[in-house]
Amino acid sequence: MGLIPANTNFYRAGEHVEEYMTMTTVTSKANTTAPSQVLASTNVQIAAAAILGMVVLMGVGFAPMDVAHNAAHDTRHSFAFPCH
Amino acid sequence: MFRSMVLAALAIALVAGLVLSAVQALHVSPIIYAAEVFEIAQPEVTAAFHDGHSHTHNDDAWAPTDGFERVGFTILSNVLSAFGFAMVLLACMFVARDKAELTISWLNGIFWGLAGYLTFFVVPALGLSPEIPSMEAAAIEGRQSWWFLAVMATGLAIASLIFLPGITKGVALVFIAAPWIVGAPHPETTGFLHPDTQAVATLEGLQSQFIYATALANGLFWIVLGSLTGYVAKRFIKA
Repeated sequence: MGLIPANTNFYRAGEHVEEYMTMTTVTSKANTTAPSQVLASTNVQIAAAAILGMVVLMGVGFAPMDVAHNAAHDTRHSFAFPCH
Repeated sequence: MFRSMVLAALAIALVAGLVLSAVQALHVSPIIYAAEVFEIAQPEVTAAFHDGHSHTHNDDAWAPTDGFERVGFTILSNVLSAFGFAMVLLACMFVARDKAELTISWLNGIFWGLAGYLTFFVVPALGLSPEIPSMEAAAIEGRQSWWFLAVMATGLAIASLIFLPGITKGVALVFIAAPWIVGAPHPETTGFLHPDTQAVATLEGLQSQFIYATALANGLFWIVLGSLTGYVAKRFIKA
């Protein structure tokens, strides 16, 4: 009892890993990451943003299902997306 | 950075999507509703002339009921589309800043907005004019493919002008020409197949009104979207 504080969920392995990983990330960002790695990560995030945007646009503007077409009908016509 | 881009795009989309919805409700949707009256009135004609049209609509499928529900789904679709466009625009702005040293600001955002208007509306609409319901058109697949071609080619033309050095910017000309070399698909019979000549005259009037209405609504939408995206990207996204 005396060895382990009552509020430490030491049996939750994930938490330890998570804590460890967070610390590692922080340390590496502060000290060891080369500028090229930061840039690469920025590029990946920008690409991910563009892809997410295009996926949403495809869904609203071009999804062929009747339900999607009917819900977004007036929007599709207004943006002059090919419709019908 | 990704997280702040998503949050920024949501805020931008809410404003730009609502601006579009207001203009649409006043000037665009009334034309769609008016043209739809004729679409419902001529089912046999539509069926007879749509041979080879692989895209048919099932009348039993769910559709929002006219009025509040329909307008609600239209506003939602507008905001979602604005979100998609804002994400693409944000990505373009950051790439242009990192690779071509273009500064991000609300003023430059207006130019980005105009680039978006050209890419996603003007050039595709020059080949496939904005349609109202009940208008004859080529098969949907062909039109969608050409639409994608026009959008990609215009986007690449703008990218060439921004990123390529000196005389190589001339590559843009190839991209500008590409959609027109391929040519937009057009139906064998153009116009409206409604049997009543009076109705056809009405529909033709609505069609030309619709081109102006969508051109204005989209132009306004893109200027708002572009300037807002430039402002928000500069002010709130750190990267």
